[in-house]
Amino acid sequence: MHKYLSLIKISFTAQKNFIPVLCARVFFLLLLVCIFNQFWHIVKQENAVSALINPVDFIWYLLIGCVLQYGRAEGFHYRIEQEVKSGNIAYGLLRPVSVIGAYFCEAMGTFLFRLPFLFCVGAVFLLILTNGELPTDFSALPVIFSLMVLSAIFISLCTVFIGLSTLWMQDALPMFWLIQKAEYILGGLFFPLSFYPEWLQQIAFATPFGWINYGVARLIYDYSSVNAVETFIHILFWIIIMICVNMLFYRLLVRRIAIHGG
Amino acid sequence: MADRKQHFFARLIQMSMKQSYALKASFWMRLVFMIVSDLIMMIGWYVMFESFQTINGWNFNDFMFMSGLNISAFSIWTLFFRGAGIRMSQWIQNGEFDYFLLSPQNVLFHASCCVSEPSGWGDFVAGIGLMIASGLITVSTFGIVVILFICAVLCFLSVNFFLTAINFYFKNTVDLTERLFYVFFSICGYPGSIYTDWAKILLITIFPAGLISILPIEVLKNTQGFTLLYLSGASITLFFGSILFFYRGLKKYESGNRTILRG
Repeated sequence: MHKYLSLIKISFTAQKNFIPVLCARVFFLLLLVCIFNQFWHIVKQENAVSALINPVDFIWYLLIGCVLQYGRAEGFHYRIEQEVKSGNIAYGLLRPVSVIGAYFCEAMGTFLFRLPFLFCVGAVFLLILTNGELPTDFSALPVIFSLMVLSAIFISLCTVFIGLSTLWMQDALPMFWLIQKAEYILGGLFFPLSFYPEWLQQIAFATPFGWINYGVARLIYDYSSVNAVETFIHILFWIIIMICVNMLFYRLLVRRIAIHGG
Repeated sequence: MADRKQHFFARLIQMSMKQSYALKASFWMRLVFMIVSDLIMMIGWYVMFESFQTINGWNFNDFMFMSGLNISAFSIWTLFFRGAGIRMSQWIQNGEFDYFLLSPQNVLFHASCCVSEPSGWGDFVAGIGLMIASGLITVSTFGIVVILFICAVLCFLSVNFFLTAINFYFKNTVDLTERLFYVFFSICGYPGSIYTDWAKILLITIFPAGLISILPIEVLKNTQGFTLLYLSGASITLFFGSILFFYRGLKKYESGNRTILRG
């Protein structure tokens, strides 16, 4: 366990060298917030259901989802793909740490560095943008942040899964696109799932995406301990599933590399 | 002479396509998954438009047309000019651009056309499909739609040429220019009607994402001759302006000393 914690720490520390890259992400995040701020204000102005819409709540909702999007290690699946294609992944098998574990720790270290940074900058920007108006359940932020870390664990596991899919698909990109778009839609990244029809909501909640994004972000305007515990249990469940899937992939990986001679 | 040049570029595009088709399974998978992922995105917006009907005067059909135009124009860049953008930026920054300078062909188009991305076919199919499904293409509007499509392609190419050329002027800007392109592409992906006042002015002038996401729908819905004229003029000016900017920057290019072999 100590080895893995050290890997997380190394990846975390390495991120300090990439502050300009992070600033570019912040710019992108703030731009998106501005676009959707405009969007929700227009929707509120011209729609009969405007009583249900509080732009401030939805902008904070978007911020939480976007921090989870932009906080992740970019192109990480591509790196794993290259290592699988070149066969360099075989060298990793000789090391005293699991290859998959090492990938996960690296992705997680990056996430842990970026998450608070992006969130704080985004939150300050939002407070300025909304003239200090707070979302309905602002006091739930500590709980939300803890659940975001849990979501980050799932997302990092998912990134490793995408990279390893190269073993069967020759290419990690199609799987990446599919999961990314599923996250956008089934996770309700831009629009809360409550706007979706019942059947689509059911599909979303049957996948992990509905919980890691919508489940966490909705707490900013619809907090209750029941909602928080429900989200916590579901994310935990999907983390366990993803760990099992990755372990299975690891076994198949070892067998496949052994067959091909490394 | 002109014929030989055209032949060269046709062969170059053909070769880069063949190269992208070398991994057949990957090619087809990218194509299919790209169509699927484009359509998945539309579901999200469909749900939104179902809830609110219109967003500042735009309905779902308008949005579908705008997305189709955006995606299909983007696909022309990924299919035929994928070299422009990140690849060319890297060649410039690493001093690996000499290969193209030594060739007797047009430098910008030679470097742009030598890479093709197979997922572009998926975008192309999805984009054209969305435009047709929007119901905004009729016999009377077909000509205008073709002009809008050409303008959108020119905008994408111009922005790519312009951002690539920035690498001649400044060092270590590969990441920055790549991200700026995706900012541009993302802005094009939201309903143009949400950009009002100063944002709209900014987007149809300095940061020309509005030429793809705002003006085409205004032209189609209100049959505005002046807007179409402005859109065409702006796209052409932008295109030639970006080429000029590129060649000016090329004079600042510093060669590297690496030995590069390119097939």
